[in-house]
Amino acid sequence: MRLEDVFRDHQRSVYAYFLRSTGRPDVAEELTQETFFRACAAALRYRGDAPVVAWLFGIARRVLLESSRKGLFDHHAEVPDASAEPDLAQKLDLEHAFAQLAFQDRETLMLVDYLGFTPTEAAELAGIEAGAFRVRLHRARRNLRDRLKETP
Amino acid sequence: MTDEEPLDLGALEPPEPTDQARAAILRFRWRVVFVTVVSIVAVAFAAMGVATVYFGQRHDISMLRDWVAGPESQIAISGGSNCKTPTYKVGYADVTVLQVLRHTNGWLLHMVVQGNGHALGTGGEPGSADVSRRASILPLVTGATSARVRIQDPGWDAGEAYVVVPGTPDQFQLQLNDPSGAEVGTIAVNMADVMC
Repeated sequence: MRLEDVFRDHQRSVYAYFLRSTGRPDVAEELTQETFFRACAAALRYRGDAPVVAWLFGIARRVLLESSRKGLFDHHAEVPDASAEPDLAQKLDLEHAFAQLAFQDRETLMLVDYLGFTPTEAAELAGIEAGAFRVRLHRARRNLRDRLKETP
Repeated sequence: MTDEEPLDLGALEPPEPTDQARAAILRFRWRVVFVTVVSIVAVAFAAMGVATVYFGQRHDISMLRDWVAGPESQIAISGGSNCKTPTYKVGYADVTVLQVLRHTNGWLLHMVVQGNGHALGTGGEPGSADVSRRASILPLVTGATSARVRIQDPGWDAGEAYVVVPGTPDQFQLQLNDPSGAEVGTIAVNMADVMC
């Protein structure tokens, strides 16, 4: 399978991961491209001992962390304008509540509840103990539910 | 503590982004080309630098060897082993043998030639030397017991000459020419007369 096809298969997921973590479409596209760019070089070292998606998101997470260290995401994500699409109120409520979460909560929820990694896999990606990650996940879910309840 | 129930975040599915896969691969290819070109240029410059230093050193060493092997330096380093400095009259010119050194390859002689107001020789032909340029010269004729040397001067009325005489003849002839190439005179130098 060509590398370009692999990237295309996962492009939307990677983009969603960045978009929901950062809340900025322009930054998300930039980070998506950076992830694929680094994956081109890393592909030479990829031995297939981990699923492609885990390998790719391992790179994506490092890219995200480097960006976050620059202070780009020390704020809540941009809140979508609900009045623009009134028919999608429920979806926008979720987006609105999600965007209010802290960066770490957003990333944690994206890895498990959106991308489908198990907490153990996500903990490995995050480089922390599985137990610690479960605590982080528990709090992130609770925070999101609390935000959704607060949404009028 | 139990996990909160998983959330359905499917609604967070974003619209399809612009093609970042293709853009990333193109960017990577350009980077590879760029790095390759830069590497080749860097290696080429480094090789040129190494070659310059290497050949420069070889040239310096070669020059040094030539200088050390030359009769001027041999005499400068070792000094003359003669104790006499005879002056010979050659036509209107005076030739003084200052230093004589017995070398493994023959005799080395350091001489001063004075034209006494006359220009000496024109120089340039094989077997001759411009005395004012301190060049070394080889004899025109060599033999077991004698050698003949011609000294020419480019126009000055005085100068030095370093003469290499292969072998160790007991005597060698020194021929002096004027600027027109005409012979001024010839002398025979007996080595026994100058050596101690």
